[in-house]
Amino acid sequence: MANFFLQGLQHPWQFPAHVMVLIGLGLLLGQQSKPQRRSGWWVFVLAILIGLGLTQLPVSVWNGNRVLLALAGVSGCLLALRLELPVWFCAVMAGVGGCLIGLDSAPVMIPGMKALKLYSVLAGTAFGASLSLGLLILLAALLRSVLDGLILRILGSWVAASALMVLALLFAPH
Amino acid sequence: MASQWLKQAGSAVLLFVALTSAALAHTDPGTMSGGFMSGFTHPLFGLDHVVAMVAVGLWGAFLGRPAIWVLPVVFPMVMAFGGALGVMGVPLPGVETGIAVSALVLGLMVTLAIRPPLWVAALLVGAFAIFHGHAHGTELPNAANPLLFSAGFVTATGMLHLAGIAFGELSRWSWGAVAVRSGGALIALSGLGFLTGWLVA
Repeated sequence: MANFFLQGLQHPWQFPAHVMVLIGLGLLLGQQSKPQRRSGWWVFVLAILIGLGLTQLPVSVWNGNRVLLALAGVSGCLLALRLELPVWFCAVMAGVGGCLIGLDSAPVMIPGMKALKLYSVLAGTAFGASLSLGLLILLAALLRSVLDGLILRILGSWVAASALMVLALLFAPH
Repeated sequence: MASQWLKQAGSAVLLFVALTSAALAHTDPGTMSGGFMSGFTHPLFGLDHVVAMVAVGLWGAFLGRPAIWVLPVVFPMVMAFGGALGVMGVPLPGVETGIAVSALVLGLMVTLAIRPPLWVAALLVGAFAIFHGHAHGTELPNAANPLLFSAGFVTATGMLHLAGIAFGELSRWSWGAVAVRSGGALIALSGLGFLTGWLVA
């Protein structure tokens, strides 16, 4: 059971698009004031649980990469601009991010797999993503006043640039 | 009290992160480490890219705030636009010439201590970023993992900017100012070398 939980724990870090969203969102929330950070993190936790729960319903398979990358791009741009965002906006960003990551984290179904193992994977994913987001928020909160927030702004531009380039690739005619 | 706790917790996290090391035993481009490292080394293998990236950070530091963060932020964002053009197959004439000219011009800006208004500096850097981005963007479709490749070369670009900024900060001292302007001269000479062909990128 612990193995499945650990698998879930590492899951968000095995998909580049999830990593980009976590980094962009985490640093963006950390750059904001306490109410935004707190509400953003809690909304993310709730949203990822909802998203993971929805993976167990018979919904159609979808490719969330484009939306995830767009969210990462927007987070990166806002991070670079260093805007003071309202609480509701941070909550919406965190909610959308959490839900998308959850929906995109359906575990691989092995025939005969026990329900408890499946739930362990899902729990690990939720815990791993929430913990990662929390740590990134903490890191950004510490860096927000270092060198006038220069490091965060530069990191934001990196996230936005990476995400936007790959989005262009996804939309490019083949 | 809470801020002190936050600082201590943050220091512990940073220490933990600093003590870990990346497991890079496998360099398969399709894996997380392989794709990222491919992209990371891409700008580093082009001397023309390296000198121009360092020059952006150097000039930003030389110009002071807010250019010190504006230029390293504008560059990757506009580079992404140039990259998108490359990815979509939009032709851009004289990409290599544009990259060489960027090293020459930015180097000259530092050497001659030219301090234009911020919008002019940002416009100039942005214009050059399109060429650099286009060059990287044409490689992107060939990458096994485009997102990691993209993240890799953007990170390398940013770190070169930071190296330029760190060097540029030496201008706080009188001897440092001479070193910085000499550095600018070297960069400008490199750019001239790439343009004339006696230096190979």
